[in-house]
Formats: sequence, C-alpha cells, structure tokens
Amino acid sequence: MIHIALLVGPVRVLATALKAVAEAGYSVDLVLQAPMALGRLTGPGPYPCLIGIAAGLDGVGAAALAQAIRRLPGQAGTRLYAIGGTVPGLSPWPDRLPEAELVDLSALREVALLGPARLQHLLAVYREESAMRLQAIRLALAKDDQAQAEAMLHGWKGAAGSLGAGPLARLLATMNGLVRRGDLAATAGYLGELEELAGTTDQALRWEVVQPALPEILAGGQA
Amino acid sequence: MSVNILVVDDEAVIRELVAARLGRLGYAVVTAVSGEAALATLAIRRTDILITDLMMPGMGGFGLLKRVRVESPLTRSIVLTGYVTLDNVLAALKEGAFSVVAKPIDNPAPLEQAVELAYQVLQGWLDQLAALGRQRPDLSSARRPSVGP
Repeated sequence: MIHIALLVGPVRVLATALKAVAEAGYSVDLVLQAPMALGRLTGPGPYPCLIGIAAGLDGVGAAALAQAIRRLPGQAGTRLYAIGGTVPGLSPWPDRLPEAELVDLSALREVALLGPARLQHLLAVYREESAMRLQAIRLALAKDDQAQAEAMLHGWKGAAGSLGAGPLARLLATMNGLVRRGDLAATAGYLGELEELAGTTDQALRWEVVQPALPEILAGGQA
Repeated sequence: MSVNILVVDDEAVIRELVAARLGRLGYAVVTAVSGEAALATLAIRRTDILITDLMMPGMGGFGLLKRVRVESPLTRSIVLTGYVTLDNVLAALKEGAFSVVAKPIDNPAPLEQAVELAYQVLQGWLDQLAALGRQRPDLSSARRPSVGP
C-alpha cells in the first residue's frame, strides 16, 4: 500500500472510487470536493502524482478542472484519470495502476533502514540532482555533446535504480544505450517520455509522500 | 583498529548511500567526488578499502585504480559500476581491482559482501606480515664476524 492518490469529486462518486483505488494497492491522501480542489493544488506541495476526477462533477466541470490542474506549476507529470464515467481528454481510472510499480518499496526499505533523516536527505539530494541532470541532458543533446549526455544519463540511472525507481532507471538505460551508439537524435526522441516519467517518479519519491508509508515500507510491504 | 573506506563517485546519491550503509555496519567511511579528490584523500589518510565508480569526469575509475596500485599498494579496490561488461570487468581486474560490483545498489548485500571479503584478505596479509616480522632475526644483536689478525 502506498499513499499517493488524491481524489476529487462529489461523495456519491468517491465511495466507488475509493474502493477501486484500494483494490489497486493505494490508499488515499486526500479526498476533496471540487470547489476545494484547486485551492489545495495551488497551495504549497506536496502534490500527488495521481489525481482522479469524478465524471459528472458539479460546478466547474470535470474537463475544466483537469485543464486547470494541468496549467498549475509543477503539475506537468501528474496523471489525471476519470472516475465513474467518461471525461473528455482523460483516461478512465485503470483497474491496475501502472504507477504502483514506479518505486520498488523493497529497495526503498533498504534505504529506510538507515533512518528517516538519512532517507529524507537522500530523497532531497536525488530530486535536486535529477532536476539538474534533466536540464544537462537536454543541453548536451542540443549541442551534440555525446560524452556529457552519456555521463548524465549514466549517473542518473544509477541513482534512480538505487532508490528503487525501476521504470525510470530502465528508460535511462535505453537512452544511455542509444547515446553510446552515437544515436543522439533517437535519444532526444525520448526526452518527452523522460520528463514525464521523471516527474511522476519525483513526486512518488517526495518525503511527504514516502513518510506516511514508512511503517509499511519498513515492514516489507509491497505496492 | 577501524577499517577505513573511501567511496568515490560523482553521483551524490550513490556516494552518500554507500557511505551511510557501510557506516551503519561500523566502517569508517569518507567520500570523494572524483579520482583527483580521492588521490588527495589517499595521501593523508590510511585507506584500507577503496570503492570507486568507473565513469567519472576527469581521471575516471581506471586511472584511479592505476594510481592507487602504485601509491597505496595495500589498499584493496572495489569497482562499483553500471557498466558490468566483460571488457570492463577484465580491465578493472587488470588494473588491480579486488572485485567488481554492479549498480544500482538497490540490494546492498553484494557490495557489503565484497567489502567484508576485501577486509578479510587485507587482514590476512597484515597478519602474515606481522608473523614474518616476528620471525625475522634481530640483526642488531648478531655477532659481527671477526676481522683482522
């Protein structure tokens, strides 16, 4: 069980949605009525990496709310899903969420054993470095700097893998392989996917997200 | 006597993670961000075990292994790399690496075992050296051969 979902919508829809989310292996950080949701999301973080928006939302409307959320700073990597019906532009809430495997809790457990302060520090270092590396990779690919792009991808891959971020580490390994073969154009083709996956992984690795799940992580729980 | 370990990696998360895990096991760990910084540390601090990345800006892991072999021959070196290819492993061993451990380190056991093994080997050498020292005759008290009539 991992705490990274937020649901927005009227109570009549949320009861069903909560059950679906729990079955997918998540617990819910926040359940918000629509009028409160934008205020919560424009405030200081943390933001969840998954947001479920109820179809048939009163007032502002589900599609408009989704658009507003996407325009918020720091929300580029957040995935939005429709709950309880269809919403234009949103995928239906999946039975099994792919983000459940964004971070391997057994790997994070090894780090958590070092103590909460150390874990918090390492997560902060990771997030700071990953943001720097994303920019450096963009720049290196734009300048055809193969060595720099490879160094950045390689280092990031090791850090992400060591914190249990398997999908991100695999994507970085794919890009690293392309760079090593000198195919910088193909590597650059993955930049959009990298930015999105880095964003969702980054949010899943926020201390404010990880901390509530610590007892379960330390107990060896799996998402 | 504490076991002194030097961890060299340009990636901060790896460097700090390795240092924290080994420190928790009771090793005395310091870190360096590059091969050049590692050599500076080696010059002023006894280092029993060196753990180094291969791909780093500047000197890089292979260059560091080469220098350590000459400048700190008793130090046992462990390579920690994301590029575990046959070429890299053979080249690292040729340059004096004691073992090669793959990144990522989401499972700390292989690295901890490599460190333990490196320390056991080092301790075995030191014990043998100490034993040899005890067996060596005390030349200062040996009778000088008589010279002259």
